[in-house]
Amino acid sequence: MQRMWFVMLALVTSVAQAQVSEVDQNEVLRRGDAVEYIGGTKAEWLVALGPPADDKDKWFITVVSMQGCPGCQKLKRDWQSNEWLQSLANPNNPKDSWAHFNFYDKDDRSQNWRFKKIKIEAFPTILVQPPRSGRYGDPKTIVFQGIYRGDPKDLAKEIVAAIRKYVAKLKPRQSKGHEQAVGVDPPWDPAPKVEPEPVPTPAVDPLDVINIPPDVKPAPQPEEAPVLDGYPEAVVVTDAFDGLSPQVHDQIRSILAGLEHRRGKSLKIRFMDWEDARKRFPVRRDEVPVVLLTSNGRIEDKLSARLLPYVETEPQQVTLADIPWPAILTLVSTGFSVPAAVALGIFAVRLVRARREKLGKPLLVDEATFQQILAALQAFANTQVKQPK
Amino acid sequence: MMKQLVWLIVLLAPGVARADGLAVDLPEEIRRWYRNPDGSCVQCSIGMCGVDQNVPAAATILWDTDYGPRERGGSGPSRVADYCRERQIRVYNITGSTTWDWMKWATRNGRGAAIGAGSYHFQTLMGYDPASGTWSVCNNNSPDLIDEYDEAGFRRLHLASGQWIVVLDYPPHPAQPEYVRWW
Repeated sequence: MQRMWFVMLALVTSVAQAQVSEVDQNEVLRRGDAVEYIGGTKAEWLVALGPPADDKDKWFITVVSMQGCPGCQKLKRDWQSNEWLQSLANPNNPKDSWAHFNFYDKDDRSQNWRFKKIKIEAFPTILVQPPRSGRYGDPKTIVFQGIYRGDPKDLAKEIVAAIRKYVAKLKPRQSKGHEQAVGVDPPWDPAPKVEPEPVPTPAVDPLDVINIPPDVKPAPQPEEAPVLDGYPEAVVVTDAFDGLSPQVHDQIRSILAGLEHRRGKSLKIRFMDWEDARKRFPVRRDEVPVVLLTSNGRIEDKLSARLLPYVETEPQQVTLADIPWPAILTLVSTGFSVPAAVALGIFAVRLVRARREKLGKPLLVDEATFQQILAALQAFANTQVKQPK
Repeated sequence: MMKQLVWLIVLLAPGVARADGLAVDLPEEIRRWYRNPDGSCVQCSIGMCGVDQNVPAAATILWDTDYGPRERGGSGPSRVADYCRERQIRVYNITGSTTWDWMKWATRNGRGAAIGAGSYHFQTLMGYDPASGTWSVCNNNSPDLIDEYDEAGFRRLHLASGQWIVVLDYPPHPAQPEYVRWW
């Protein structure tokens, strides 16, 4: 019994010693957070302590070779130097290589178990498989299996063609849960997109392109409309079938009288049926009767019969009643004020305008512009009204 | 009594997994080559990673070959750096709190890692499934098995040995190729 206990104690001690010597935990603690990179014969301490970028989406290119195989050696040399093959996989620079590259010996017992599910009859055999991430389907799938005929460019093209063909056959990946695919499809069926027809461009031979800038011709001046000097005209468009009611007739006559008064005796008045007028002027049937005021053959104003009740046909007369008596009282009692001065100014301008109209003299501005000026002056006067504090 | 003891061992023991589908998918026969005979767990783990990634200089580290003399016995980060430099093996020798990120990176990108696992011990990280939080580890004291740990269990395992791992800087291997009719 004692011997048994002694043997067990020796065993435990030896195991403990073995454990103590297997891993130097003290050094692990002394190093702390550190990443030491040993690259061949060099060692360096990496500043960035995190791992490199993921490469799980890289394709796999595998060469299965045989010892004593000249083609295998040539392929190995070509893959280390040829740009076509290195564009696919660079054994000298795995980090920047487009695909992971592995070179296996068929007689290597540590590796040949990998190929027991496939048939390899010639060497070197090149295999291409999708990434192990599953992004391009089952990573076990053989996308390309071929042999090397000595031309690296041909081999590279065959590999690329096979990958393209495989990728084209891949079914789109199903989204995980249709109800979770928010934002993928709109909640309605939008109208199909209509692509504009391409505008045919003339085929131009580059050699025919002349670099010398062509002479720039002056832009053609638009033809000016014939000037009818001093030809104001009022065209009354009526409908021969409808005729004019007595009230509309009187209103139109008043408009014409007012226009004649303002434009002077040089104003021509013409009556025209709609059938004729629509050929010369932009007049709709529902606008008739309408008075067109033209000058030098161009329409300046158009007055529809619907607006006749609202048209003031008589020229306004400026009388003593129009004198701004409140403004005068303000000036006398409190002194100068802008509103009062503006009111007197408006009166004076209206008086002068009325006298000129009466005498048949040409007005400086038309009635609409004149009214706008008066409104602006009045608005200015209102802004100058002092508010009680 | 014996039956109850067996059930207890089965319940308490970590899960056992198959190598298929793991980052390190070595068959049982190959894993047995790296059984730990004499306290060389660090080299056993590095060797297993070496054979997985087809790096002969690392795969033969336990034996005298053209790639160099055998490396036996216990190791620390410095010794690993020395013999990797001599044998021209490209490795990341990582200590400290970043080992977790490196382990996840390695398995995510099809690689294994030699990791501190258990008290004064090194094992081979075979794979990690982030969806289930399952870590797959091969202990060179029992290379026939692939042990599975949940997040908490694996954390205890790695911390017990000190945070130190070794990752080989070589491309991963492809999946075992099969003929799939895609054309």
